[in-house]
Amino acid sequence: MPIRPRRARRLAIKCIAITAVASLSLAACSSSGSVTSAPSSAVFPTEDVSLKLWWWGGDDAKGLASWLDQSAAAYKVKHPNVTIVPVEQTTDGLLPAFQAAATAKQGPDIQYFWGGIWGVQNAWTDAIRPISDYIPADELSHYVNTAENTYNGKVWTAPFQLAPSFPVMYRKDVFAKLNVAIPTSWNDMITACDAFHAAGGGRSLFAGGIKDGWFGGWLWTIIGQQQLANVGELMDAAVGQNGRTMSDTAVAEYWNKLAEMHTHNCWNDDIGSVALYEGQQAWRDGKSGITVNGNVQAQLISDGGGADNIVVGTMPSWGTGPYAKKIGSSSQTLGVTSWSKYPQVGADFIKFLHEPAQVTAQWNVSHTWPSDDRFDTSNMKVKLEADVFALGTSGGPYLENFIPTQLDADGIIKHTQLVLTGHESAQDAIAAVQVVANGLQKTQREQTTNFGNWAKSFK
Amino acid sequence: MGVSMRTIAHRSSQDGGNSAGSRHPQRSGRIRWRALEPALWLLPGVGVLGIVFGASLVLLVVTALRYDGKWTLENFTIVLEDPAFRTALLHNVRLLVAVPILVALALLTSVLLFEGMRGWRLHRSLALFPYILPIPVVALVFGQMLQLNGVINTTLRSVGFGSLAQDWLGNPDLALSTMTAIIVWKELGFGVVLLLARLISIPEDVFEAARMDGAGFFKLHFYITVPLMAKVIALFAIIEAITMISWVFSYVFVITNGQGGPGDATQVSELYIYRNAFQFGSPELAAAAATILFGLTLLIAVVLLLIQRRSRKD
Repeated sequence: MPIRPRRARRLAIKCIAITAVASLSLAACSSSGSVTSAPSSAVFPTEDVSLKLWWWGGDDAKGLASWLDQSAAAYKVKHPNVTIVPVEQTTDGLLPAFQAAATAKQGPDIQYFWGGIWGVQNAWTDAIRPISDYIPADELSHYVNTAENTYNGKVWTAPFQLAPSFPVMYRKDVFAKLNVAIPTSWNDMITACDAFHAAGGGRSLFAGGIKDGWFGGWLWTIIGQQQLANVGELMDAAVGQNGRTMSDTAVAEYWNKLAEMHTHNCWNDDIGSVALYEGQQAWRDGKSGITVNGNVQAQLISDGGGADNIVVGTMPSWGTGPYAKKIGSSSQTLGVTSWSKYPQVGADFIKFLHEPAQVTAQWNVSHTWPSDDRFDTSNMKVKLEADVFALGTSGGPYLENFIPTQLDADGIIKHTQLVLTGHESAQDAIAAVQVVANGLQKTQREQTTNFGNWAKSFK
Repeated sequence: MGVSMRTIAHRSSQDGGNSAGSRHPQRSGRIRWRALEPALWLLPGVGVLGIVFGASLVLLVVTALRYDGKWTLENFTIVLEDPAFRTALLHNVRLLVAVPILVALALLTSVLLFEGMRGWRLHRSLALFPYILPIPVVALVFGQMLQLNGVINTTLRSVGFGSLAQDWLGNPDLALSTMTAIIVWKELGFGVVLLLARLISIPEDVFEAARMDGAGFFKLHFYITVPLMAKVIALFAIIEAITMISWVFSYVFVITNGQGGPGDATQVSELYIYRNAFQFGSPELAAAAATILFGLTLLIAVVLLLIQRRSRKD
């Protein structure tokens, strides 16, 4: 049976119209969120409870998965009706997965967060409950770095894994070979940069790579924090409140210091085209005296000539602020989600992770530093590990955790790449970062207000 | 020349380049049910896809139009005023400039292979090889090779061309051009195979006639091959133009670790959208940027199709 063109056209139009209406309906359905249910009870439940724990970090610490599984099993012995189900998330999937869960108000009961803004921003969107509502203050006082997760008088997520940010590693043999003293002041460091470069053979004082960007955030903390009076000052500058800007000397001097490092050839010449760990090869090869790393793995110690050949410390200091001669310090945290029916159980499990047996197991099984000042440091058999733990527990703020993510990515990280490789002047970087900050104050007004309020927690 | 090159090409293209005759169904103004049967089987699937795609599009536009709880174009204004988005779009346009180069290279390579290069089947497979490699593999390998002290620069230095050694991906002045070259290298194989397939389908007597008329290599291919392949060349150009506007995310993401660096040197609009949506928590800005990108891609495709239709009429 033939279909006449006009009829076919009408049919096509009908099909398109039906499709469009169905599309609109589907769109309308998918944009409406479900309503959260309140926690069933504040007391510990007696019925069977299963809680999902979404966590991250297995790539960096291979034993973390085992430790969490063991902890979940130990908790079940203590509370037979409670099952904790750890589910590891990928690096790229962690944030989008939680965002989707927060939108749908369903997903994990306990969620992993990096410190500072990564956790606190979820308080602003009501995705998490304050952990200080469930864990007593005297218990929380033992958790290292609760300050970075404090907002509006409450601690929102609980630190469990210390992240010293970041220990500077000096190789004694390399300095001795060039007859250069390990620098402690900025000026000594610049002199050492010149000496290493003059020695030739591709030598440089520092080894690292900045192609993938994030090392820029590390440098910003260990160099840029040295003149800050407190981290609230930086937060004010980031959101342009109390007359502060990202161009203020205490905040912006970092860029001049980076430019000075470039001028004096402080870094390996290929720093712009390699990632951090590739760039560290020069340190392993004995061509560089200093590198920066997140932890002190056995392989790195071995490559650096052994524990006796390595000194861990802080960045040579140029500033006189309270954070000079310190590294930054942050902690990986766990929080309870606002849609969890059993937030008190989630919080109790987090507290359980801080019991002496679990804290010791954390170190023994995962070789990650517990974020707890009750940790018996005699468990650490290598002195370097204890040294880094000490630096971490006495560290300053990890600056990246206190500014909007976009200011970090588009401002700090990108322009660190450019200044350190000599493709941008310090003044241009300062101006560009200010432009990013100004733009965010306009486009992210709610975030700006929240940061402004959060800054009050640090004064 | 008894018959002009254009005439041979024109006659051959009217013939569809196929001595067996045209395979197009007759256009009678009526469509027979039997002819429609396969389409009817596919209709439910196409309908579901249409609904899902339509819903996504509606959601996208709705998200883009919401700002502070109001219906407004503010998100579009913010995105268009954002230097990062303008830089990203500019980079997409710069990538677009590579399309004619890519088409020319693909055409030249396919013609050379067609012109009886010994072992052309092997060469055709080799030409396709980059195209079948996964983008992360290509990006990782080139990322390593193009380091300041990588294989390419080391080789250049060892043969006395050290002055040519550059920080290909670490220098913001070179990074986008380097990335463009990587994309061209990868996409070239697809073009070669596509164009070669069309070349092979042209009847040999068309070339014979032109050669008897005294056409040399350049005249033969300029006046015979290119016009006969116009449709396929246009198709390849459209696909690659769309690739350069909205399919380069994977290259940039893997090579720069999701940064678009150094600085903003390799920032592209897809990355801008991704970062706003998933890293910076600004889905409404991402939606506005995505709507603009979708519109631009559609516009380019329509313009290229119109050009193709006009050239067909001419």
